[in-house]
Parts: sequence; structure tokens; C-alpha cells
Amino acid sequence: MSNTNNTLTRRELLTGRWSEPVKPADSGRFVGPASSTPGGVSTSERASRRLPDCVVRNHREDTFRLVSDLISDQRVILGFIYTRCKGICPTTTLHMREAYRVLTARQAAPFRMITISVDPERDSPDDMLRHAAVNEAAGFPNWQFVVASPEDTLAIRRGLRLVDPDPVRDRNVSTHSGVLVLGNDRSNRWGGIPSGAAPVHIANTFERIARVGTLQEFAGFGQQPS
Amino acid sequence: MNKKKSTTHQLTRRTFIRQTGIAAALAAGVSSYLRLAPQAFANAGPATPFSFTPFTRPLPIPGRLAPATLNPAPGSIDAAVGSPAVYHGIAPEYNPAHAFNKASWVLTDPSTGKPFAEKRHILEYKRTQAELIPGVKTNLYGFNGTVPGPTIRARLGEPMVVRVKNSLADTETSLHLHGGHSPSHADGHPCFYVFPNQQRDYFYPHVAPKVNGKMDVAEVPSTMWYHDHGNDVTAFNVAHGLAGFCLLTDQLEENLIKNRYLPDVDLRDAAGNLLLAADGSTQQGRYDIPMAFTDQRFNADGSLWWDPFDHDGRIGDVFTVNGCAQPFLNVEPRKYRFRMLCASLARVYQLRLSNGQTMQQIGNDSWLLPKAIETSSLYLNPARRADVIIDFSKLAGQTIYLENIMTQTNGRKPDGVDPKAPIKMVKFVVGKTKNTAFPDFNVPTGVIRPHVNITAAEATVTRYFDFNRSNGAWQINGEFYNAYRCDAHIRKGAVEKWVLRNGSGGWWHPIHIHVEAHQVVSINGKAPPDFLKYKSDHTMLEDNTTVELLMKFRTFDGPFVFHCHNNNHEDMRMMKQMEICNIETSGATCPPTLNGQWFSVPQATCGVPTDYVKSHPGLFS
Repeated sequence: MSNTNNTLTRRELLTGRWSEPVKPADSGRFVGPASSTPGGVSTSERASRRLPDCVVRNHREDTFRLVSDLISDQRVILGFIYTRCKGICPTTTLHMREAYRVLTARQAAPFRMITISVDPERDSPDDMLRHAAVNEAAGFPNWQFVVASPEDTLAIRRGLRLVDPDPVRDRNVSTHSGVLVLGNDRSNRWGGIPSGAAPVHIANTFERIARVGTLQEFAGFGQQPS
Repeated sequence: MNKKKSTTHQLTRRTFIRQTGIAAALAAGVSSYLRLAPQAFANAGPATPFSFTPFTRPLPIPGRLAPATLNPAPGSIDAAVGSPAVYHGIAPEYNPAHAFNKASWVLTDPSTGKPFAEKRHILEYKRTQAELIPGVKTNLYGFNGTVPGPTIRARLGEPMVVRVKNSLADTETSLHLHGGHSPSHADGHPCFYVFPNQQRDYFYPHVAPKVNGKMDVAEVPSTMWYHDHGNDVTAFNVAHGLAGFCLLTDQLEENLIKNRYLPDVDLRDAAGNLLLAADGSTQQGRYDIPMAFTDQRFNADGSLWWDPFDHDGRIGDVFTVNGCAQPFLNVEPRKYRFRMLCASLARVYQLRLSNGQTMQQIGNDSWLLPKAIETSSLYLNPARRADVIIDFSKLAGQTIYLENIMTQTNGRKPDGVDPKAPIKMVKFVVGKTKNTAFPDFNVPTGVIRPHVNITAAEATVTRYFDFNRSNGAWQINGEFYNAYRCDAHIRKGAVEKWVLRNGSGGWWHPIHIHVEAHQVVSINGKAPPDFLKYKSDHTMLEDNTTVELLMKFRTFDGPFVFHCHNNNHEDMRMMKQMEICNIETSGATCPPTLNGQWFSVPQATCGVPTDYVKSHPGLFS
């Protein structure tokens, strides 16, 4: 989907932060060799294929297929927020933003971030844009703040096992999961980290779990070899 | 059991289940020949798409880890940190100049009258393939290619170096000797990795804490196990086979064996001579059998089913013992010692014998109990070991089963005990005669291993740890695990009281504390059950439960961790870090032992010792 320049300009005025391409940049596509991974020993099926390949709309009102457009073959960090949240969500986005900066400063291999609304009945793409802008995160080229339909949102949360076993609790968005799901779809290796963890640890964990390449590329991140 | 009989059994059971309406309760533990409707497994994953006839294959007994020559030699310049050969080096305690002074911990070998020589081994993480289910090939990880890994045979006071190579090209690893008393660098701290295609020399002095200058006989472990402990990958790695036994003996246990209170740990001929395997390793004794229980779930291609997004805890629908689904074991009509280990990630077992016969539990976790406990069933939660004697002497020619009667449908906690829904785990086929060349042993009636109670009056420090869940993730005292933060500065030599609290009604957490045994004082204010009254290396924190325990911290400085041993929870950072420091030599600040980045910021928000704060107000301001 493409945007009109007019829409962009309105958003640009709203946030004052537009300076990046609209679509996920091609650089976001991980093109390294497929490596054998812990996932590889387990199953030939990629874990992301258990998620619904549903339509999602981002904060720029672009539409994507969640898996085939945003996750497939990518290194991704997935976060979950709702825009009226007064609890963990600002921290989640803030820590993702700082992790994004850490990874960029390190010239890490291409990666993407996806922030998904857990309150799709109320959150519009404009709300997501506002949330992104307020948290100074709207301008990152490979970071989508997306809304799916309520049914698809539940299916995504179920697929990622981010559903509270207590249905009453699960319906209460204020207790939603603060786990960041991070992984490398190509290598089929995934992990999770609480979004409350320090940004540098989120970046380190992401680089270790979703890494491309060899030991030397992730050995230096604060952990001494001995 | 032939196919036809199995089918008949299946129909009968299904009818029974329908009639009694306990399908849900049964679903967790049903073996694959008793397949239930797939929706019953919705919480835990799709049902394993294989059927097989159980009890057609003998229980595999893991081989022993063979001696090896290490080149370059451990501790040499060519095997130092950063070297091409042994990139991660060896623990500083290995250095003769280190304060630990390893030479003073080496005991005399009674057979030679000289100090024990250092034992050397190689343990390699590698990919392997095995038939957990007959006829179904499953890709696994194995130590030296076997599942479970080879049994390590250790002796108190006999130092050991294990060169660990990570030949899994794609995952970082860390080896933990569970229930052992080892230096920090050899303890398998989750961030002390062995990177892909690199090596680390793990130095195990195999010692017990000293009392009055001598190693405390009460603290000597018997049944340890080793498993992977890498941060973020522990659950995956353990589920895929990276676990094995480590059996240790000391003079006391060797005397028990000599006096026929326990069977031989090693394979010997009737004259008592060791029978070695072709590779020079010892072999498992005839009447001392290790059994590691796991529950597994399979994909149609034979690989293990694994949900990388699941952090509740993995629950399988196929039960394996020593890497074989529902094996049989031919036994003689006599007593046997079994070292049972729950190597499952999240499943809790309640084990009994199908004929209602009692068992003698002689050990809990790593340690022999002071006296045998007669019990009709065994509680075995993740990481727990039960050292058990089963007497088959009155069952010549009969068949009995080891059964699990705990039902569990998801990783959060078991559903409860259902004595009417036993899952058969092992079939014991009792022969008619016993080999009289080997005399039977008697269950010790007196003290097996002495126990010294730590008293509450000795504790100078009380720490509180609350285990809870916040926004779908685990916290301890409201904090996430941070490998760069020390959550508890502990003075070496201190006695501490820890209060572990789980205020949640929905989750169980087996809390494992590294480096030392702890003694459970109370569970919800009441005395613990008999088998938990002595030493443990982990404590099951059931829902809405408070556990008080006492612990001493001795011998080793450095960072160690304690964490939930539901490995999925552990990987989601239900973990804390403690640093034991020698306050007499280091001063009040207990400087970091590794490098400037570790523990440079002492945190006063968690697990702060009460008197420590008082005496060092500046440190915690």
C-alpha cells in the first residue's frame, strides 16, 4: 500500500518527526545465509507460521500482512501496547526505542520492530501515531505501530502465547503482557524478554538470539568471555 | 505386550474414560497408546501423532564418561582465557596461587595412600539422533552424542577437569553441575557461556564445605546431575537431551557399599574388581540404576514439538526414561537402588508401584538422608532427585510397574493426584532367580549419612524473596533478572535465613539455589514432609506458599544464581543473582570478582540482609 504525500505531510506536521521512508526499507530484509539453529533441530516448520497472516494497519495507515510482509525472513522485536495505557506501555515503547538506537549505533544487522495494539477496538492508526510520536518513536523507518482486527489481535496473542489463563484478567487490557518477543524468522529461533529490562540488555539478548553470523559479533556486548 | 492386546486395552480405557468423565484429568499423562481427543491437549500443544506398543524396549543405562587426555593441559598458557584452544579458560581457583589453594582440598586415595590425581574428561555438546519412540528418529542434542549424557563418576576430594566443547554451531551453552559445590566459573552461571565452537575447562574440585578444617561428611553429595544452563536456551537445550547424571562417593558411602548397606555404584565382578568398558571408563553397577524421567511431545516428522513462544512450561504426552519411551527393566528378585531424576521442564510426578508396595527413600536431591523413609509414593518435581530402594525379592516371576498418578495439563502447575488414572512409566519384569555371586544388601536401619541442623539462631541475615507475575512476565521482588546486578551480597561463612513467598494461586515454581544445600525449616508455617527436612538444592514453591529455609555460604566466592527450575520460567528470567564475598579480606564493599561491569552498582532494593544494611548504611543509601 502506498500513501499520498498529502497524508504524509499532515502526519509530518502532527509529529514533526518525519524524515524516513514510509515503507519498511529493503535494508530491513535479512539476506544472510540460512543457518542451522536450535529451531532447526526441533522442527522444519517455522514458528511464525503458527501466527495468523492477518491484515494489520500501521500508524501511517499502510496495510500489511503480519507474517508475510513484516515477519517472514526478518529479525524482529515485537512489543504490545494500548494507547490509553498508563502502566507498562510507555516503558515498553521507550525501551524499544532505546534498544533500536543501541542496535543502530552498533550497526547491527537489519532488524524490524513491530508494536501491536492490544486494544484494537479503541486504538486507531492515528492513536498509534500519537503514541509513537509522544514517545519519540514515530520516525524510525523499520518500526511499525500496527492495529489488527479484534479477532486477529486475539489470534496473534494466542499464537505468541501472550494470553492470561484467567479469561477475566485476559479481557482487562491493563494487565496485558509486557513481554517483548524477539527472534529471527530465518533461523527460526525466538525468545522473550520483559519489556521492563534495560534497553541495552534487550539489545544484547536480541543480538544473541536473533544473531546473524558468528561469535565475535555478539561476544563483546558486556559479557566477558571468562 | 503384543499389538492386539494393546488395542483391546485402548478400547477398554477409552470406554472407561467416557463413562467416568475424567478425560481432562487423564489427558496430561496419557501414554500414546491411550490417545485421547486432541482438544484435551489444547493448552499444551497438539497430540503426538505416533502410536507405539510400550514396554518393548529395555531401559537404557547411560554409559560412563571416559577418561581423556587434554591437550593443551588445563591451566597452561595455551589453554588460558582467550586462547584459540580453550577460549574461555578455567576457573581462577585452579591456579595454585589462588586463595582457594586447591592442593589443600585433595584427599588421599585409600587404594594408593597418595593424594588423588586429577581426573580429566571431555564433554562435547553435539547434535545426535535417537529413537525415543521405537521406529521414530528424533533429532536431539546430546553430551558426547548420547541422551541422557554419559554418567560422570566422581569421588570426594578427587579434582576433576572437564573440557567442555560446544559443537552446536548455533547456540551458546553453559554447563551446570546441579547439586554440586563448585567454583563460580565452573558452576554454569547462565551468562558464563561456552560459545559455539569454543571450549571451557570446568574445574570441579569435588569438595564439601569444611568444618574445623575437615570436609563436612554431612554435606557430601551422592546423586548430582548436570545439564545446560545457558541464558534463554536452557529449556530448549534440556528438553532436547542435554542432561546427565553425576554420581559421587566418599569414604562413608564406600563403607556403606562395603558393608552391604548399598549396592556397588560401579560394575564389579564377584571378587570386587572393577570391570572397565573398552574406553577405560567405569560402568554402572548391576543393582544401582539411574532413571531420568522426561515428558516429550513430537511433530509428525519425528522432531520434538517446541513452541518458542511458550513460557508457561512445556508439557509432553510421551513419557521417557533414560531417553526411551516406556521401557521395561528385567530385575532379579532382590533389592535395587534407583536414582530417580525429574528432568522434565515443568511436569510434576507422583510415582508409586502398581502393586501398592512401599519403597525406601534414602536420598533427596543430591544427598543421602540420615535415615531411610518408607513411602508408598514419591514426589518428583522438576530437578528433584529421589534416591530409592525397591525390594523385588518377594515378586519372583511377577511383573509390576512404576506409575505416575499426578495429572498435569499445562506447565503452570499440576491438576492434582488421581490414583485412578495411573500412567505406567517403567515395567519391572522380575526374574525367578537371583545371581547368588552377588550378595544382597540390607537397607540401612541406622544413620545413613549424618545430618547437622542449621539452627535459626545461627542466621545473621534474613532475606525475603517474593515470586510473582507482572504483565505476563516473571519478577522476583518486583524486579526482572539483570545479569549485571547483584541482588544479594552474601558474606562468605554467613548463615542466612531466606523466606521465599509465592502469592499467586495459579503457578508453581521449583526454586533452585546454586552452590550450597539449603535446609527447609517450614512450609506455610508447618514442618516440611520428612524427605524435605534435611538437605535440598531446590524447593518447590507451590501456589500461595511461603517457605522458610536456612543456608550457609562457604568455600567459594563469586556470583551464583538462584531461579525457578521450570526451565521456561527460568529462560523468562525468573532468576536472581547473589555474590558471595570474603568480607574479611575484601572489606565492606565486596568488590566485583569478575570485571568492572559486573555488580558495579549494588542494589539495595532486593534481598538486602537486615544487619548488613545496619552495619553498612553508606553502602545501601
